[in-house]
Amino acid sequence: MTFRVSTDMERCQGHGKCVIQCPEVFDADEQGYVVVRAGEIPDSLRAAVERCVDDCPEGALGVT
Amino acid sequence: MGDNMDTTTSRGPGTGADPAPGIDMHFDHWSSKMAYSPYDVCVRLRNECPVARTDKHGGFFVLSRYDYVFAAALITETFSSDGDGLGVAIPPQDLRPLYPIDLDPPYHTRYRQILNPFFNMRTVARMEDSIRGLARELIAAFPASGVFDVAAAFTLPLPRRVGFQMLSFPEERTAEVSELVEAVMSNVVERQGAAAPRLFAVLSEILAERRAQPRRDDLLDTVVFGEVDGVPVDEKQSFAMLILLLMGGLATTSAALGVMIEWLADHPEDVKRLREHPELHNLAVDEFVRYSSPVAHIGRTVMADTEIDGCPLPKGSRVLLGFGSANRDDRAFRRPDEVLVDRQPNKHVGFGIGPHRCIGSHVAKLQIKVALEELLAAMPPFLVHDHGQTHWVGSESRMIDRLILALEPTP
Repeated sequence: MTFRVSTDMERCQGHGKCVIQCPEVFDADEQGYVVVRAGEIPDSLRAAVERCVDDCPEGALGVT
Repeated sequence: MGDNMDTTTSRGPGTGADPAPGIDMHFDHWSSKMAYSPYDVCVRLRNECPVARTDKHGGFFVLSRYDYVFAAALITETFSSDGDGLGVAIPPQDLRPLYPIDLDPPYHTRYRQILNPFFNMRTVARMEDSIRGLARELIAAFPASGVFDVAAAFTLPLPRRVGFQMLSFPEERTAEVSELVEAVMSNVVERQGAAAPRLFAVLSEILAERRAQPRRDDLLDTVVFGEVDGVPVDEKQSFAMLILLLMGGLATTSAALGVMIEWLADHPEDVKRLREHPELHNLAVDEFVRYSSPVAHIGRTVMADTEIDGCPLPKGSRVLLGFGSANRDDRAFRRPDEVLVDRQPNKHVGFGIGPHRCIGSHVAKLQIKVALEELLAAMPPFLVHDHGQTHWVGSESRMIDRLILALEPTP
């Protein structure tokens, strides 16, 4: 099974904590803002991604 | 009190009626109390007067709870960094506006956009080897045993060397520039006093030299030749960007490094744990930033009548956002006054929050991480030799500039 990650680009300020904690899923663009590497993410990464969602200082990430 | 520090409020338990909250308060964020030991004051504010008002520096409000600091930092239309030209310092400083900290979106964003490419994670990650080399060089010069000042030997020079390397500053100017930047930052009197014009003169010279040289398209070139909306920045803007990079990038990282080393010296159990669990280092870095809160507070100006927690904030009010206090708020953090090296989540506001998030946060975090790794690898058992000699400076940005360690000789 897979799941999707939502990003609120109005909120993301490029803290980059998600990129450090879960580089399999998150990357940063030239300006430093979050980029999600794939649309469908395997459930094996769900716990790691949920930690990033909870840890985002701006509340810019979600799981759908 | 000697330092104008009086935190009595009109709102203590048992005082009954609740007249204008905090009206008799004389909180001064520039006092040495707030440099040395701010957190008892912060906890009193959070518990008894979370939207406080002080009569110092022309009068301003102080937000101390995490939720209120967070909210105000995000509502940039109401809580303005520009503030019709006042900027973010309380009281307003002569050197303003500083680009881009004293601007609001969308103008703020355009200046950030030209600087961001030099500070994004991937660009910064390429600096790791060079930062590690500098850290190793400094650590190799520590004495093998005995007593020494780790601030002078490590926490002050590392961020300076990294910062001046990023800016490709002429080597012979760096000592003078560091000292002047620190003088300008360390108190509100000096900031408006003798050091500022000297700093202006030295930096203007460095900028003029660069302006006359062939383009290199590095960070300093962007400060000198950058274009915003197709218009080249002028000399005043170049200067304002450069001084902000220096003010933001040197002492702040030193602050986090100093507090980290002090904590580890006092808590050998965490040294042991971090040695055994390198996978915790990234979390520990954020935790040291939360715990040290190098930028303790930054101001805003209220652009339209508003209220927080039922307390009216009239248009034109100055407001201090207490990032350091927010980071110790037990409403947001469990055991806030301790370093928990595996704290997660850790939604600290140590780099600020919202569009003004510290542009150098990745450079800072990489330095802290590399420093942690290299100190863990190289240091014999260490402790603070004399806490009585630990010296703090600053206010808006507060740091340890003397920390006397004792090393135990390795067998």
